[in-house]
Amino acid sequence: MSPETPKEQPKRTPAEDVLRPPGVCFPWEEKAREFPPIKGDEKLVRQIWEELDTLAYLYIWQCLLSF
Amino acid sequence: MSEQMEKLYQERLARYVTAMRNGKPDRIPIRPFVAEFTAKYAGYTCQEVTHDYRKAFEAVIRCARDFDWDAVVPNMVYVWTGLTTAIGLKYYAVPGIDLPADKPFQYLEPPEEQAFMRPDEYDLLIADPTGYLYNVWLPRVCPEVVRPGEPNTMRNNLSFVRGGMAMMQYFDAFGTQIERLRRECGTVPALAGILKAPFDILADKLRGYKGLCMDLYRQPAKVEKACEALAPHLLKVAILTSDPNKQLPVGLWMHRGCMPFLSPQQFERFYWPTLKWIIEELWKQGIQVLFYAEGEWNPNLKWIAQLPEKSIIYHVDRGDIFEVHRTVGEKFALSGGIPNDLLAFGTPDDVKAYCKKVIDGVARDGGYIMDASAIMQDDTKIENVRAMTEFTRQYGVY
Repeated sequence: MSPETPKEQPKRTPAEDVLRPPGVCFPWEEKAREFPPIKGDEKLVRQIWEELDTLAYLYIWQCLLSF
Repeated sequence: MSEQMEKLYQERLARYVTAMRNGKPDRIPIRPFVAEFTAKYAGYTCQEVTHDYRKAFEAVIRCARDFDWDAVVPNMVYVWTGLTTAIGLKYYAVPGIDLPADKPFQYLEPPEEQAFMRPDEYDLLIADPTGYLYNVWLPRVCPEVVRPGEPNTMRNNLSFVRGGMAMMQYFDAFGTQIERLRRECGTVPALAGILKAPFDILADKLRGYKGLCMDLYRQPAKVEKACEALAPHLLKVAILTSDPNKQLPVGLWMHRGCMPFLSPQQFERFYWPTLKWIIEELWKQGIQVLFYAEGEWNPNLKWIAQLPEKSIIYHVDRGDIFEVHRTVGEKFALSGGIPNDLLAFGTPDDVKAYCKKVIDGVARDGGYIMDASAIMQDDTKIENVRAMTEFTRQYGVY
């Protein structure tokens, strides 16, 4: 069995270069560009990404506000 | 959960919410903000309740059960120094590490020249507050964390893994704590969520108070813009952390807005516009704010009176509570007003007499919640808290 050729990595946007509205660290619109065409339920992928990204947002703001 | 305990919980919730909406419940609710006092009562050191939140939670449960309060903050010793130590935060003096085990934790403000935000960084903060916090502020307050572009380290990675997991563990544990308070004590959680004024965040955690005072004269427009940039984020965090049922208020802890920290003119220009906007936006969504006015805020009453009716519960610290009641008592419920020095150094009879004076003066028509002026630490006498509680339960019946 021959080793698989690694997938070509898509161009990744540096986190420093994105616009961040309240509640967001790394917007879905930027992240979505890194995926190949999504074969299944894109809404589900987006929802989970955004839920976890909100936790990253809360992490830094809770550090500032509560700790 | 026993039916009797659930009935007690529902009675207390109704009492507390009615009073917070400036109504007249069956009696005055008792909701003391007790921090290190709980350790003193439960027999723990300050180190134990600060560094091991499980002991802090247990101390709250014991107080809630024994004093039979209507509502209590699930953990008023809010800074879990296990987490701050795990991520390497350097602005706390931690009991048992930097301080004797029997001393409460302390916040350390750095010298002006080592402020966590430099005076020439306003534009960075204004352009991208969240990015600024991750990329500039956090590496400065946590030496474990490296700035983007610097060689990564295992300690940097570990700080985020430990920090993220610790924060999840801590906040998840609040769910269990709130359930225990309900099931074992019939006690209502006093608050849900966190809010601070944009100006206070600049003063407390970014520029430092002295640095910010210089900025008020040297670059006032930048200070205004920074408050405006922070405000939508502070609103967002308040909403994300608030009570989904919209019964409990978000806690707003105010530090540097009153005299002598700011003149009323400075308050009007720098402090108030963005904070007022946040409170109004929260109230549009039905979320009340516990307006913890630490210090003497009576010179600011004319601005506070601009807020929508019932949008806040005005907690009185060093202000004259009778004047507060005369000025804004028609619009907002009040809490607090029992002096901490009296609770620390007075007798139970002194405390009962003062409670009577406050109840007679501000609580005759409802809209009052019994509490000390400021958060109670370990200098508060147990017998005085008992006197405040028992007197209010007897005398505060409508």
